[in-house]
Amino acid sequence: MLVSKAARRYATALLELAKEQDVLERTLEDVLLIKGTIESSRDLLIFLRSPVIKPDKKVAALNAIFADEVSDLVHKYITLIARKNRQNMLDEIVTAFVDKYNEHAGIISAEVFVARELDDKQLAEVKQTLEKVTKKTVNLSTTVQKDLKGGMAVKIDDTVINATVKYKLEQLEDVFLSAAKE
Amino acid sequence: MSQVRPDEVSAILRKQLSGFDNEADTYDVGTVLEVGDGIARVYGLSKVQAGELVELPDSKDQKGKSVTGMVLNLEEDNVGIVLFGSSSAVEEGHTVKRTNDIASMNVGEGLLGRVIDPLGNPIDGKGAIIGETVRLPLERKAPGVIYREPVAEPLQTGLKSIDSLIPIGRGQRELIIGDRQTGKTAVAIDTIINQKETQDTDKPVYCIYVAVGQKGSTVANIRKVLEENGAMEYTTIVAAPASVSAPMRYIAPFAGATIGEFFRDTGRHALVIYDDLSKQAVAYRELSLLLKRPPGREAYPGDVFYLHSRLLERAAKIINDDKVAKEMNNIPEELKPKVKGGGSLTALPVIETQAGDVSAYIPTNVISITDGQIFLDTDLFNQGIRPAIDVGTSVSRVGGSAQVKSMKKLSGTLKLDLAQYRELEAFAKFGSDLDASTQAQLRTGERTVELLKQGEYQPLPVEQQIALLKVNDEGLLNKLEVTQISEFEAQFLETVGLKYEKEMDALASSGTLSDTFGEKLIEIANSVIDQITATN
Repeated sequence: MLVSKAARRYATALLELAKEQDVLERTLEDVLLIKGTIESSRDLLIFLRSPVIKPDKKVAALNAIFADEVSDLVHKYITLIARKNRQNMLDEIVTAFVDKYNEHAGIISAEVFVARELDDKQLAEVKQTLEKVTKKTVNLSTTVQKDLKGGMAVKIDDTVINATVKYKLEQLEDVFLSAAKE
Repeated sequence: MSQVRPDEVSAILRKQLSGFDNEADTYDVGTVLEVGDGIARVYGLSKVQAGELVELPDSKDQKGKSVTGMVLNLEEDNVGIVLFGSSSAVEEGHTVKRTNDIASMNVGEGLLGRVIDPLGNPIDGKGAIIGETVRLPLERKAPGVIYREPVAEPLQTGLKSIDSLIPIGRGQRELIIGDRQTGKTAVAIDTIINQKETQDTDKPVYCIYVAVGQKGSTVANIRKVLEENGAMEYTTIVAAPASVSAPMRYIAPFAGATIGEFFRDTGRHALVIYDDLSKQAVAYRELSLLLKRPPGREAYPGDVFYLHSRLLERAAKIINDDKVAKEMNNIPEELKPKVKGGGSLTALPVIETQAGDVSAYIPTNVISITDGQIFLDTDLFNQGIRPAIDVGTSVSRVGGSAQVKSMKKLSGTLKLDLAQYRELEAFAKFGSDLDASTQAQLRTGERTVELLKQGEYQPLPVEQQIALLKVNDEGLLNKLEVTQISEFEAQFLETVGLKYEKEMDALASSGTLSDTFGEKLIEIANSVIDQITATN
């Protein structure tokens, strides 16, 4: 997801403050709660982004949803965002915060692409190997794509390690075709 | 057609399969955010370099081939790439794959005689490029000062008016400028054809013709002409016709320079013709505007000067010292073992002006970059003076030192005479009462101008040019009518060629016209003139 510069700055501010007050874990929980709520409710996202709805209504709604659930710090933070008129950026800010937190805690997320569902043992094995290679804690997510036919591809940030049957077949096709031309 | 045996096929397949490794591949990717007008903006690709080639494996054009692109803009949160294929095959969300390969092409002797696209793929239907090739980047820094030498060897164009008045040396950059339909391409093609005579010497000149934004039919025609004149054997055509995308037209001259550099850095001589750079500038303007770079004068981006200066700086005469040449800057690893000194790359960029306006942005830029210009004039062209070279405004800043000795001697007076003739010609139009000396000057001038006319695809070897100019210098042509000059030229050259073959060969190799041979030439000229005047 493309995160704007402003969202990253807001996220950094919250992270620094949470670190200073030593409430990092609690803050993360709250942020994840907000993130989960926005992701599960498309209506909320549209509501926040809508230029038609007045800012004070947005603040009131956000307060009504989160005020009782989150810590004091996060509550104040939401109010600040509202006062700066950045509610429409809330989803980007929470995403940026999670990224920043992961970076801080040495966690990387990896996406695994497979043709068939992996069982827990296989997943654990993949996770262990990746952690050994990257020397970081790995957050795995799996995507099943039937047309990969077999093998596995792992995507960490922008880098892909590809060993799927589909990719190999495509490469083989290239080799044969380029040889045929000569 | 020979039969294909099935067991052979399987043997070949097995061979290819055995070389196929089964390791996992690691590469970087990004995602297309938006696409349109040959430009795509990509999220991700965080380690990509500017100028790197990228692939879009998800996209398939009509031929089922995936689109490739080149990274031009590196921004904080996205990467701007230009697409070499059709942008309609690319959609939002497509994966973009790094190739870790700065835009480059495979270059080798196998390219001679071929027509290729700017990425080095053959497009003449003659199959793959054969022979050993090296992979060279399209963008390379020009050689530094210590690796260069002043221009000292001539590059004969075979055109009397150029070789005598605006001589070009190997390693020079000489601009060919003029309106449309003034014979710019003809000058370039004649120059390529004339390099045929160098092919038998120890210093052959290999030619590269870069067609940017021209009609496909024009490119096909040029190829036909070169083939008919036996010039295609030592020539490569880099074709980026008007039908290809702007990025292709933008990199085409760089591809031509890369091929030329291969010859230059391996101690050989090459001539590259960029036809034309105004269309490349237009392609670059298109890209820059779509990439949202700020427009400047005539909406060209700020670095359009650098676009042409870095391209033309790559034309150079390399120092004739292998040891120093091997130290040259920016030599790709693959080329290093082959590097030799003494090579050269001559560039003849072409610029098209609108209604003779040389003070437009691109013409002034390129005029200031190059070592002189050949100015072609519409009026002269319509008067039947072809090549329509305006001798007054055309200059060659460094070619003089490369000129053949006796040619230099003859051209000194020629230039002066022509300049005086032009001045008098303007006056002579008004009055008829002219003194004898003025009339004589006009008479000589008319004949000189007639002598400098030359048909298309008929380049003359330098020794024949010297012989003709010697006759002109002696004032012998005054005995003839203007209409008889071309007849005289043909007969004179034929007689000289038959009678004094050895002397002409000596003149070609030494470049000095001895007094005795000079007298003999005058003798022949007189007899030919007598013959012509007698018959009429």
